[in-house]
Amino acid sequence: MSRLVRVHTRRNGLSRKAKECTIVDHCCRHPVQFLVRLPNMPFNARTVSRILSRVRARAMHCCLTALIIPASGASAQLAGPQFTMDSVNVRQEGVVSFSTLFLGADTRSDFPAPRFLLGQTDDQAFRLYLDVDSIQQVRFNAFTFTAYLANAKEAGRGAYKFQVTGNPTGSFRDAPVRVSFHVKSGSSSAVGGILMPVYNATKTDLLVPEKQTEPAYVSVSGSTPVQIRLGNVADTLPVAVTDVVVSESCPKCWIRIDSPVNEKSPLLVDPGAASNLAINLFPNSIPALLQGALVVKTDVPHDTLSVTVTYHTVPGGADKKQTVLALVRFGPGLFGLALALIGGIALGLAARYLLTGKLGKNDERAVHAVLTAFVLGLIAEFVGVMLTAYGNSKLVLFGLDIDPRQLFPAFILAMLVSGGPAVISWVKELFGKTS
Amino acid sequence: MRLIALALLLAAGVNLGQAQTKLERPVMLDSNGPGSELFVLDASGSLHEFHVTQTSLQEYREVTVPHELNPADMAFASSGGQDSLLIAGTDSGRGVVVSFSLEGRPLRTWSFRNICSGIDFSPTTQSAYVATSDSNEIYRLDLKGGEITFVARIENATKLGPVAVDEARQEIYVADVASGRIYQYSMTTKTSRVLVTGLSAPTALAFDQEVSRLFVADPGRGGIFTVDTRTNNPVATELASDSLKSPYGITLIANSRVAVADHGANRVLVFSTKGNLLFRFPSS
Repeated sequence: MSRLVRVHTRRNGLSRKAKECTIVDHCCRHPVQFLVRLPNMPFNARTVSRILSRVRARAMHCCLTALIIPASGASAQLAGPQFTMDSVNVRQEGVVSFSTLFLGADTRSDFPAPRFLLGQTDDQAFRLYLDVDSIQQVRFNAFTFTAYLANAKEAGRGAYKFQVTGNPTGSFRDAPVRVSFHVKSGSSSAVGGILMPVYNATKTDLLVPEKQTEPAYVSVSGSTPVQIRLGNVADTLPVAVTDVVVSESCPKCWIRIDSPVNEKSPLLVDPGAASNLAINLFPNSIPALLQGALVVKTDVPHDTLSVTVTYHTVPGGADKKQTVLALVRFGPGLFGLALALIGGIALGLAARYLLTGKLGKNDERAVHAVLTAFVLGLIAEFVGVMLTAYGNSKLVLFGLDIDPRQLFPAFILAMLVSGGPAVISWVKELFGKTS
Repeated sequence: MRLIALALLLAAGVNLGQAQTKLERPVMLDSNGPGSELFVLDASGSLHEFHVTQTSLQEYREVTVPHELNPADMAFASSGGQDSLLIAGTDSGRGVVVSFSLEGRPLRTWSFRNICSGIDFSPTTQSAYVATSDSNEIYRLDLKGGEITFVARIENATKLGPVAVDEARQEIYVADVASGRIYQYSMTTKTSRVLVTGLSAPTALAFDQEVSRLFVADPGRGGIFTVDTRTNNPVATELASDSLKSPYGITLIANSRVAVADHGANRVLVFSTKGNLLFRFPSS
């Protein structure tokens, strides 16, 4: 600690201008430094000698003062209370031990929440303030933070500053725990407690993703929002997701994939709760349709997205990454589905006409038959989509579990409905199978 | 026309240079020497390689360390005519030291029974010294023969981290990240002692052989410190702190300079050994 002592010599008559004698309190260890500034002064040896002798006398005084000031400062530091924190067992899964380093007295007397967490000794003599903003994770799985210890009787007169290092072992998750601490001041000692976060960098995958029961349906036209449900274990710290990176198995099937979640707008997952991570999918229509064209079984994904989320516990946790898989199936969208239906109906009617020589039943007018085929095809498609999308039903055609939201199955379904028994019989004969 | 083409080429070169001026969460670094090459590993496992000039760092390569490896410390090694980077850490919970070529190709792996934390390379003995954080031991890894030899156990230590070797005096300096102490182990007398206290979380060490000074990065105290190891009662003297946010790594580079990985500020800063900030990367 260096302290600057200034002495003004305004006597002597040699100069009315201020002369500065600067003494640095390094004088205890190093030669005393004098800076005598005498502008416009004639340098007479005797005069200079006289000035110096006066200045030396003052310097001795200053030096003594300087000796006293840092000594009192040092004694203030040494007189600071002893502060230690007990090791804490975290959910029987690990232990955190603490080491404290006294940094000296600090002038800070204002400790507003939520930046400062408050703890207190049982006798209420000391208050402990943990600076949440100072929490940082360091290498080798440790964390540090700054804590202030304030004497309750001396409110507003500053506090003692400590740097605390936490050393976790075991496999626990970041969690809030109650930590006991001890303050020894003079002959008295007191015990206190503080509820504070503890961290463990070795424990990964803090988020619990909800299992996807079936692939998410993604329309190839426009964008489709997909939600991934992420949970957090109870009695831990909240988790903030700050970055989302998605990689796909079929890169050509996508124009863009993005998420509104980022560092400025994080997704918060509270302990014991779950939140939806939104991802916007923009498929590349033709490659996506081709990718799913021949995969008709409903439980087989057309693409698998690897969603890597970066997150940290709040407050002060280390950045961690976790990858969640999202299965998707491409669908043609409303326009594509309508085209497939119309095409299927047209082909079914044409096949019926070729097989039976007429479009409908006996004496049925052609317009009526076409309209009937169209309406029945539409109803069949609608019922099929509703049952498979929102119910637990399956649509099985010729032994195959198909998804009526896909182009090819919708086309076949419409063709069979509009073609009627003649076309179905013909197909059965052709493949020798029953539906 | 030639002048225009040259100007376009120069402009393209400048743009390329500007496109590479980004560094995220640098964790550890080391240099070939102290030399003119600097290797910086970031939190995402990307290894950035720089040429060190008088006034700047110029990145010339970026490679990725395999995701299975969880790096704790890194040391440049030159053995058998091959330059490599030794990374100490864990792989599937087991302690390992992996040697990588400067192109990022894994060359060799050594398995340890304990979690490897700190590592430093001794060119004279062609060996690396490895500290373990769960058993507080130091091992010697012979890069030529490949043998791992137990050197010492530091009694009373809580969690050993970074290591620095004084080849001339055959001393090993190893920091206790949890207690804020630095231990000195003499390979000659086979004894250890506490060299300095008063630090919070010393996460990186670098030893200057020429002046027998130890440089320490302490993110807990938010600064870098220096220790004169020749004195009877060494103390950690603050070298720089104002320009630093969270100094995770430290190493010596050419022309008596100190490079510091500031994890919190996403930067590498270069100081003189007197603590004057010379330049930083990225510069803005």
